[in-house]
Amino acid sequence: MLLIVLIGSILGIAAMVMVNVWLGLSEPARLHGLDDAVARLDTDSVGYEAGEGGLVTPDGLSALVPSRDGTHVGLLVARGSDFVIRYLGLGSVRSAEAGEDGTLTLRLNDFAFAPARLDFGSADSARSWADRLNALKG
Amino acid sequence: MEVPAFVENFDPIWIAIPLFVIAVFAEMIFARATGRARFEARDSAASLMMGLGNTISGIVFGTVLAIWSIFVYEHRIFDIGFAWWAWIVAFVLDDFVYYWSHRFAHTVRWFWADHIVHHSSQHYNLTTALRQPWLNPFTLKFLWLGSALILLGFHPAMIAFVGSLNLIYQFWIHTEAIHKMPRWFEAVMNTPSHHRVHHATNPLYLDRNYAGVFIVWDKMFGTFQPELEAEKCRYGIVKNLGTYNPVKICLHEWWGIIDDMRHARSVREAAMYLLAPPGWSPDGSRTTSKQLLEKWKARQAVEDVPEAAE
Repeated sequence: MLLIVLIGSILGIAAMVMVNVWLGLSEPARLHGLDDAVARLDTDSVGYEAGEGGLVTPDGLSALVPSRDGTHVGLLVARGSDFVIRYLGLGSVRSAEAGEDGTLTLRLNDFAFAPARLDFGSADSARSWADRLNALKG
Repeated sequence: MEVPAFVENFDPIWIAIPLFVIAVFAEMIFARATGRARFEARDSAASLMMGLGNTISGIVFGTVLAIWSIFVYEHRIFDIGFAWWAWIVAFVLDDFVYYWSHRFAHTVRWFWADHIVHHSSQHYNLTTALRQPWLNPFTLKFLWLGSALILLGFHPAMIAFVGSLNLIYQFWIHTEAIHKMPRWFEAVMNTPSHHRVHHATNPLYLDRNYAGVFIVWDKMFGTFQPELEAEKCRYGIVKNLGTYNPVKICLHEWWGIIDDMRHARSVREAAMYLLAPPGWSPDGSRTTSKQLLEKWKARQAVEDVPEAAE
């Protein structure tokens, strides 16, 4: 009996997720420029003081915004139709690897943060940010 | 004491599950037609897997809970029995206990480690209602809060039955599809509007509206906050998850507590990581809900701030 319930539940879940996809209910999250990114950080942390040198990746899926005091980098990464935000300080970063295709793979010392792929569109920019982020390994 | 057959052999949740599924489909179609509800397939999949895992966990841990309940009932203070009025009293008292249990689940990190699962979606739809923890018995709340009414003299089967009714009631309030219910209903009952506030991370809304069925408990104990047009709900947790992995959703806060306690510099510090409100840290480098609200109020001091409860 329990096995039937289990199989039925898995089929039910699969059906609900498939209908979800089929109806196209999700709209991917996109940032509309640096001001949008800063505003989101500001709302999230109730007063994020952004410094110079922040950027939104050309695809609008991620942003890196250093804090004014230079101690943190505000990170926004699109996950589906929403953004996940982290404030990266010393010890936050596990690895930041720049690729020749202009992407950067970021892993954090954060159990609940899956590795993120940031597409800078330029290998130089990806390398430069990888250096900055690797400095936060601690 | 003889237990009525319909209580002994019947859990209303098993009857409700097909209705839950139909309601989810209906809400998805509503979302497509009106745009007034938000879904994300991977988020829904994660929520539904958490619901399935919660059901399995209920079966796995059920025997332990049943043995404990019977033990407590053998030492009951009164013999309340199964009179018709006892059902009504049990339902209301169970909701009262739920209010306090839920309040502790938000204000003690040990309990939050379990309950955070339910709040960890950035979406608010009927699948979110099914996003439930797998390790609930690890809070050990069943030893005291969960047994209080049984010790008083209510039969464990009766408490399990009214508890199931309570959970079924709470399913339909996890939606953005319903704006407000009639005024009299909003005054007494928990509603989608009240519960949206509960799931929101806006500082004004944090740690508000703990009610299960009757919102009057929040009004009595100073934790009520109405949903304001000027303050649109943002859902999720203060530090949102960056994963849809059900195992990580289940374990992340437990892992966080263990990691913090491992690095604690004293026994007191370790105890505080376990028992203090979520966001507590010895050096103040993290932020609790209260601190976030204070920060928000200070920032808005020169502006027109929406009225917060308390």
